[in-house]
Amino acid sequence: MGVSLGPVISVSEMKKIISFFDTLTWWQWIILWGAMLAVFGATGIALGYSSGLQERQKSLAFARAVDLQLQVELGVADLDAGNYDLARQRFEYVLGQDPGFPGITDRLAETLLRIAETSTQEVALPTPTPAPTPTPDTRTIDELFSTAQRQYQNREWKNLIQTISALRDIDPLYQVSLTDRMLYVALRMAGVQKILEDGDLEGGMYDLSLVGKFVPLDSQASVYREWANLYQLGVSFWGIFPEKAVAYFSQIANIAPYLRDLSGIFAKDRYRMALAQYGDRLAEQGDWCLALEQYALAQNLFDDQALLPTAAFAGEQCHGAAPTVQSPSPEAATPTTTMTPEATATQQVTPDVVIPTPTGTSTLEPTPEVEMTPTPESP
Amino acid sequence: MKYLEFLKNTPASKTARYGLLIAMTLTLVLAMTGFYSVTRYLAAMGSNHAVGIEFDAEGGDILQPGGEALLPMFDLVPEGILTPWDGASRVTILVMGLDYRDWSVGEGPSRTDTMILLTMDPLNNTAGMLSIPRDLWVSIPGFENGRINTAYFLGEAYQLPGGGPALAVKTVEQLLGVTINYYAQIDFAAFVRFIDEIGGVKIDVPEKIKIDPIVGDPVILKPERQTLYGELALAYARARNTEGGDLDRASRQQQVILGIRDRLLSPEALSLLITKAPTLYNDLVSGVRANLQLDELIKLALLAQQIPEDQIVRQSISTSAILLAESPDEQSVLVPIPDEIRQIRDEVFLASTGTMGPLAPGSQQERMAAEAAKIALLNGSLVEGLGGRTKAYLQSLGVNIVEVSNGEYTAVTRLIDYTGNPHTARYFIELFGIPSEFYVFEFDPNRSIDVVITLGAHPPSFLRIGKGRICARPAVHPPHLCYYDRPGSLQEG
Repeated sequence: MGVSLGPVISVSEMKKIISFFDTLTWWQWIILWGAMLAVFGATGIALGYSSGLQERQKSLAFARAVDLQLQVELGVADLDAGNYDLARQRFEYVLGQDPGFPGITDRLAETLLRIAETSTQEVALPTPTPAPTPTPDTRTIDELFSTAQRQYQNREWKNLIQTISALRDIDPLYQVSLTDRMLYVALRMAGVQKILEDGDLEGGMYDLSLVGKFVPLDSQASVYREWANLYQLGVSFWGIFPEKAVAYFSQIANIAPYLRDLSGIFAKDRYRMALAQYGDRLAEQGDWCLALEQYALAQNLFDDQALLPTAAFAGEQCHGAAPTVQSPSPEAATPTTTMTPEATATQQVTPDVVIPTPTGTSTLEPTPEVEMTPTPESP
Repeated sequence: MKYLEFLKNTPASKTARYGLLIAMTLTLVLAMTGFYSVTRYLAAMGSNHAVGIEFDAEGGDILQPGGEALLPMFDLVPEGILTPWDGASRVTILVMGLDYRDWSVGEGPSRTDTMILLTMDPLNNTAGMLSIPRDLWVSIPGFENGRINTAYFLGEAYQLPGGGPALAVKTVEQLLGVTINYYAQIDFAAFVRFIDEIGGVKIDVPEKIKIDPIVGDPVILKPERQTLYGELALAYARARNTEGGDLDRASRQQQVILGIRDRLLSPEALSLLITKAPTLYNDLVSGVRANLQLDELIKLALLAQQIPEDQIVRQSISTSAILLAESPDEQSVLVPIPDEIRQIRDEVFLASTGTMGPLAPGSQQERMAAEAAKIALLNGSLVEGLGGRTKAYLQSLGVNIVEVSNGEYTAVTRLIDYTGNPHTARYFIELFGIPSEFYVFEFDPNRSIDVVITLGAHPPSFLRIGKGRICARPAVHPPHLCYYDRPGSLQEG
């Protein structure tokens, strides 16, 4: 057998191979090299792809970890600065991304507690929802239909809408009469749910607009839609035309006091806050008696200690009594609400940019200043 | 080494030996280069553009988040912030342009100068564009009400999850109630370079307009179809000095978007895109920030290609939908009128509902029949025999009446749907002229009856009831159908 070159090829076999190469012409060499290049190149690229994906995953995981850590640190800063709504947004986001993030549940609980303690308004707190998956749906149409039927039975309306959409992406006419029915019910129920439970008023109204493509809206859904519309009208005038905001929120506070938008503020609290804003506006115009009426109405709805000095001052002005030296001036006593947006971020701000203030604390308290923490260099 | 020794000592010719060696070496080098390039490319896609946190070129040190120094093209926005597109149903993209004044200063975050919502419905091959004015007074999640152009700034300044784009998207979603899947934010320089590289855009200038490019002297454009290159296209899109102000501006911006689309879809575009791909890519990477992946971008481009221009609805939030006002800091703002804005939104988004609307084919009557809802007919009219006669009439139309009885008195005909039968409900609402307040949806899927119709004392508008007969008004049901109060007496009158 001669010299063994290993378990694979013997010397005689190798000689044959070399002899074979010896017979090749120059263009056969080129073809051979091309073939080798294709095989090895493809292998290299495939391995590179796999390795690149792994590196990418590692980078992403690292970046996400940094991002979550950053959001937690900023959330803590927001919490200390009294920007509870921003803190809540950040902690909810971290919780949604990584429910196991150390201490995140406690931090969120603390934020919610602070909101409950310091706010004069009742705030409905949304539940963090898990992140939707970006993965394309690879289920077959029959599987999707079964899932849709199960979701219909379980009244999982929002999921049902997604499932039917995915099903119709594959075949729009699959069980079309049934899917029309299921989609109609899902949109109608989800629309009402968004308005009454989630505070997603505009999203709910959009779903109900889609319902209108099937059949005119039923009587109850029309009522809910009108509530949402009234609330949104009030919000659109918020901070600009307080008298209009008062007019709309007085209506909605009467019929649906616990209706809220995504800010979580109930209609009855919006009404009270709008009254205070309107009072402020009237006080600015020197109409003290009408301002006093607004403050009194607001006080009737909720005994707000912060509003008392302002109301007292308006009362003195209205009844002609000269204010004492210690009396709070309107500027000092008047709640800042949305009147004086301040650039609170310490980082550089273009001069004519006016930044709305963060919400989350009682709007009847001075707007807290936000100290932006330096960005961490590493997680 | 043994193999090399062997090769050296083998009787084969030098050409064979060294040819083989060179070929293998070259192949291995190239394979390794491929391996390395692909690895670095994929890794860089992940590291440089992750979640709004920016890394230096090596993917190591983190740069200042929210800074504008590096604008990655493909942001990997964390899941849960934007709703991902499934690749087949309606897709909506928020296109943003930054404010030149902020952008040119280059310090800190900018406000948005332009916001246009693009939406495409792949099922019906329709699309829509909706321009949102920058001064619109809106509720910004987590902040007091403010102008919509500050949302981006706030998201960046406060380093919120997803940064400025995510807060801008959330604000627009909250304003319009629609889901937004993607955003794309382009800076001025990238826009100018991009338009130049694709050879300009053809625009039908509707009226004489003076435009003021950032670089160069003002130019007056004549009312005619002309090709505008980068600087002029940008100036045209930014110009405000026409009678319609911001509304005209919105229309011009939409014109430019359509011009870009037409240019990219033109027959010569393919070769142009191939030859200029590296330049275009560099332009985009340096000046565009988006949460689109390359495959999604290609998918969207292919989708846009299939939509004819007459199927693209162009809208903007116009004067009818806003009130001019002054903000607390004495700046001009536009207060939205929600009802009007919804109408505009619906013109763009509900012109075709795609998979989110009714798809059952046929006439309303056929769709009703296909639902096969079990219907109970109650006579609440006090007109004796009306239930029976109406049943016979409705059965002749293919209605599945399973029960007839007397009901409580009602002046107006009512309909209660228990199990969700939209086509049946619509059929009867139209047929009987049932007002919306008398149409009730009371979901109870376990009921044996799907729909209950209670006939009111005022007969349905389409029926004429005479002594011993009931007839349909021809306008509603073309055959002059009459049912006489004797067996098998349905006749065409």
